[in-house]
Amino acid sequence: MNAWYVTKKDLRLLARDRRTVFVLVALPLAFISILGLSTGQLFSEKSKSTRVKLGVIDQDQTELSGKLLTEVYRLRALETKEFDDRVEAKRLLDNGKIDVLVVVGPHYHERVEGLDVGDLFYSDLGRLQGHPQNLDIEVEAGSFLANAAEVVQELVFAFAVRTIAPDVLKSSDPKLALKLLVQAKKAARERSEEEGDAAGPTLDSTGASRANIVYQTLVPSYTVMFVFFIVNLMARSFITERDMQTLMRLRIADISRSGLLLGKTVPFLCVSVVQTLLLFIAGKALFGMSWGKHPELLIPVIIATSLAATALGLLVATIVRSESQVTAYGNFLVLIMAGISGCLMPRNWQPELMQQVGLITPHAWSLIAYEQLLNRETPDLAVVGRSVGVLLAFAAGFFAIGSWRYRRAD
Amino acid sequence: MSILEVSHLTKAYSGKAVVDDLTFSIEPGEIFGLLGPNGAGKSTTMMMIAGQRRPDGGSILLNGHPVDDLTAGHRLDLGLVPQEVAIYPDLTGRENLEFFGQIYGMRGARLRDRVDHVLADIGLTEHAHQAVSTFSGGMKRRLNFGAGLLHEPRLVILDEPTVGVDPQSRSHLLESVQRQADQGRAVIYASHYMEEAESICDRVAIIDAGRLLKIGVPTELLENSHSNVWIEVLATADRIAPGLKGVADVQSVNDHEAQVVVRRERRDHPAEFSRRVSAVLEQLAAADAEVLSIETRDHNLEQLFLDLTGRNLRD
Repeated sequence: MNAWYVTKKDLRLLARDRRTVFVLVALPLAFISILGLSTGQLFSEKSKSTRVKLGVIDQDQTELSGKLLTEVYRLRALETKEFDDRVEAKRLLDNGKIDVLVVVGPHYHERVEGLDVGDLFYSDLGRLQGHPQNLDIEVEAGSFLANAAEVVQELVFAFAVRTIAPDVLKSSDPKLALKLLVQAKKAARERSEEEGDAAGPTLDSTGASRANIVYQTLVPSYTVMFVFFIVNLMARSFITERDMQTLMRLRIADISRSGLLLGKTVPFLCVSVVQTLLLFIAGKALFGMSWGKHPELLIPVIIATSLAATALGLLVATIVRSESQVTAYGNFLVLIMAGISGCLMPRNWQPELMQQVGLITPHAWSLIAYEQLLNRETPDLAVVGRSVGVLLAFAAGFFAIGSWRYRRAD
Repeated sequence: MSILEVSHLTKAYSGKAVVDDLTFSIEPGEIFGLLGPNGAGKSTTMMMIAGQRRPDGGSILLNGHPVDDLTAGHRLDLGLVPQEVAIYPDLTGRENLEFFGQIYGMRGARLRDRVDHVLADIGLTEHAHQAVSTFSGGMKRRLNFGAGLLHEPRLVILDEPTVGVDPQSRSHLLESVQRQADQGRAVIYASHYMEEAESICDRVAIIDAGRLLKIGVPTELLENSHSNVWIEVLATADRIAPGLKGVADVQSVNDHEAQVVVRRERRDHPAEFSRRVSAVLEQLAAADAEVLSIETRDHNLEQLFLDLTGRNLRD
């Protein structure tokens, strides 16, 4: 029971210490803001870098060529740019500014008009012979991503066949074309009714937009990193109590050793949980981050992470002997763990070996759980559960060793 | 029955004895001085009495119970006022006392009454709602003292409670200590200020290098010692010192005067001491050193310590 009064006293002291609010909330928010602004481009560039840069020239300028290029533009794997000047497009292709150049020639619509239904069904054998050139489409590869041209050629050919099929059929057999159109529209209507309102935008069902996707990574990463700064505050609190001899007063009072440890640990656990909640609320309010489809599942991850951090704080408090050691060793430990776990650089950017090494830190398990809950459309709850379990095991281990060391030092 | 019985207590660090076969007991209402220089073993002894260090040998009984096996109830018999100001600077004076009362199980009206009483006792009622960080050094010391008394322990351990305290606070603290004894509490008063110990302690134990040198009532201890003879002369210390070597101590007063101290050891026979004083005076006459004054000075605990160890307390 008396442990509660130790907790209450420490909460009061923490509330009166402005450094606590600064280190635990203001500092991570500043980090997230600065890094969000400065690395947001980097994060976007990473996703851009995986897309093929495609230059397009439409020399046909008909409805048919428009339909084809609309299909091309719709494909997200391609970063498409339209040119009027073939010389300029060729120069950029040679410089590697674009990877592939597609030129829809001026005879595209004429070639399409010359086709019949058989050419569509047997595209490898008929007038098309499987080559877009037979539709007056040229696909040219640059030297930096030559293999991409083959893929693009196949795609453009497939898009062309798909977009010209209704027109070719209409000119060959108008009745059949009309019948098939009616059947297709009916099928689409029925499918729409079955799905009802459930069919919403599917761009990203976790709610994250392209603009705030960077904060889906930064907020949890820096939150986890700064949650572990509680280690320094806790160790400093123990050292201060020992140096002021108030710890001795507490030890001879009517309070058990474990009660004292509990009383000293719980306030920092509370502060740590509140810190995470504040940072997540700020992440949503200021940066538009999403809490994922199951925000309620964030609670066990937050608590387990804070438990691991405060238990580590207790352990460090039994190792360091002075405030300067807290500053030196505490900061070293927190920053190194943050570095190898993936707090400073997203885990999926790290090499496989580093990702495995990172698993020795509680930070990494926390990040794995947050990644599932914040960024996945359907989080793997088994992964989240395992991460929470490992975090609790870290907490139990740190607390057991810390308690043992505390009693031994006694 | 003694409130505290310490018997053949020993403690060593890295093979070096810091407390060596210490035995004493303290009665209720008694102020017991534990005197010695820094490093004499006072703090280690008190830490062992408070159950914060495990003795290597011997026993400590608090109210008849071994201190390393105290129940929660028996812990209430013990109050500690550490040498450091062991209070929280960011809490107010009242909040500090309330907290220390709470961890001793005090609640509600009793807690409020005791906090009010202690604040009045240590003279901090008007400052009760100020943060301790705004207190003067003396006020902090008084609050430190009050925090150890809040739960009305039967034995109070005071470790150098007046270090760095202004005369007003020192006087206030000493009066408070005396009041505790008057209320029947036993007090262990560790200090290297002998004049404080002489003024308030009922008994003192003089320890050095962990060993008990002397124990008893201050006046009785001093009765058995004798006064030294102090001779002030008009001569430089350098001129007269060689002739007095082994007979008396010579200290320089200024460029023209010196002070000669003929010490009276416990083993000295009165006739032998008289012969030594005569020899010193003859030597001074032979050196043509004019005697300005001769006086005897009473022995105090500080001089007693010097007699016992050959060292000053503050060495």
